[in-house]
Amino acid sequence: MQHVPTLLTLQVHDKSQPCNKHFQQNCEGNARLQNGSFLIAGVPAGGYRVEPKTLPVGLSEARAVKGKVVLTCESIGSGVALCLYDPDSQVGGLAHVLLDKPSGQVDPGTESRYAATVVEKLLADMENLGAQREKVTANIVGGAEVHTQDPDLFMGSRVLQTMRDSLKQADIPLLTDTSGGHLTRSVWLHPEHGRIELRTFVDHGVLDWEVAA
Amino acid sequence: MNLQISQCLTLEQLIENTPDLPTLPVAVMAVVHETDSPEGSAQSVARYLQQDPALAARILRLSNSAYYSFSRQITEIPEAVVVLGMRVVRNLALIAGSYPWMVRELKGYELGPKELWSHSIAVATGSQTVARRARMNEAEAFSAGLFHNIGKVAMSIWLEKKVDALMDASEPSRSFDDIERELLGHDHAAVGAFLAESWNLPKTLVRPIRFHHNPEEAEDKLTDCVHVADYLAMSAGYNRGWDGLRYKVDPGAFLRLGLDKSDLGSLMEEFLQSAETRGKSLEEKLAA
Repeated sequence: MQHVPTLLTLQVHDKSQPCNKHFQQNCEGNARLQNGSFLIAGVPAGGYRVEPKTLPVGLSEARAVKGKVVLTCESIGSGVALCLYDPDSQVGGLAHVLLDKPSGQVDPGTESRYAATVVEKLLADMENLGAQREKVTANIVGGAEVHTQDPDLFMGSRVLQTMRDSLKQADIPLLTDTSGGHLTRSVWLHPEHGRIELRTFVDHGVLDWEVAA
Repeated sequence: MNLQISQCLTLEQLIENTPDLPTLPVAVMAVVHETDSPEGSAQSVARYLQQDPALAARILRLSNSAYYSFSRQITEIPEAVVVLGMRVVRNLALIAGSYPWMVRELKGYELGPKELWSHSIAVATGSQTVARRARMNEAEAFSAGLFHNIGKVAMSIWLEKKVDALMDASEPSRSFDDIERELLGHDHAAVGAFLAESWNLPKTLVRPIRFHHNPEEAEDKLTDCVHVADYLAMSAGYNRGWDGLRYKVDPGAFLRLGLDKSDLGSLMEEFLQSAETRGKSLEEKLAA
């Protein structure tokens, strides 16, 4: 499916205000800020298309880039997309993981498969491109679940929790956490603008890093 | 398709009035029956396939995909049947015969071209992975997984006409098959099973199609296999449509297969590796 996102302005939804039906239906596709409010898509300004140089990041992959390149993870289910960004160097990193930790030892070269090891791997890749670790902040997207009451089958929650723990351990601030629900998501990271685009089948939102920070 | 879309549409009416219904080549159906029969032989399987040269050519291309990694090229159908085995060749015939409609865009489910195909191959590969762990027939599990969602090909056009109602009913906490039943009176599992029966596919393949979202009703390990594989594939993001991950998973399926749920990580790891390799190597050969 070809995605042609439209540039949308941002609104911050005040959680004290009642949601209308449309918003309730769609809010799980939007970024949930740490204070409990949502960043939601507003009126399309129109005309914007993703730059031609878009690099896909597949499952169990991690990629760092600088400047005018867009990174994208399409089809995030229970997996988690980790978006890291250093605004000073305009270096961004994106990883898509579905496994929390390895069952045994981590084989060299497989660090990007696991939430427990991907943060350090992506940070190292970003530092190679000039990012400064202390300037890097994070947003995470994904962790949806198939309908179940059985905690053993909560695959998304497990990956999310391990990812949050790994970020904490690496001392990387987590700005937004757009996670849970039952919808497949896609994400585009624009390091040049410090922007994330999020899409579910019902919804499309844009998150600016400085707004989230 | 002048019929009024309503819940009263029977399965027969729904199928009869669906334009451009998927079909399977006669040779593929013959091979399915031959491999399902105790009297089936490698010679007769090869003979049926050779009656459809276009299909035979596609099967030979698939036989030489990187996934099977034989040191030498397979150039004849009888050789493919001997080297790969009847069950594997049957799966290749099902893949080659269904690929033309499996890659269709299904607007009613918001699935782009090839998205049903990649989900189906992922579930087929996942069923094989699960079957290996449960010590079941892997090749049989593959074919059961491959066709589990064929009902979507017929349902899509009807759902497309109901898009407004679909939006209204689409609370993410509701299971999608429940919404299908509310809007059209049937879900894609029932429609798929009806279609498979109309093709005269064996019960071993029809049952997983009908019960893949309700495996507890099937009392069939093959259906449990497909159900668990579907869960793995949806979790891995292999379902990009409206429905996403909005289906129930039955923990009982794991128990019935003797799988340890606490070992889910390693099962998923094994699934991801094979799904990626298998999907790419088959796609290269089919798109060529």
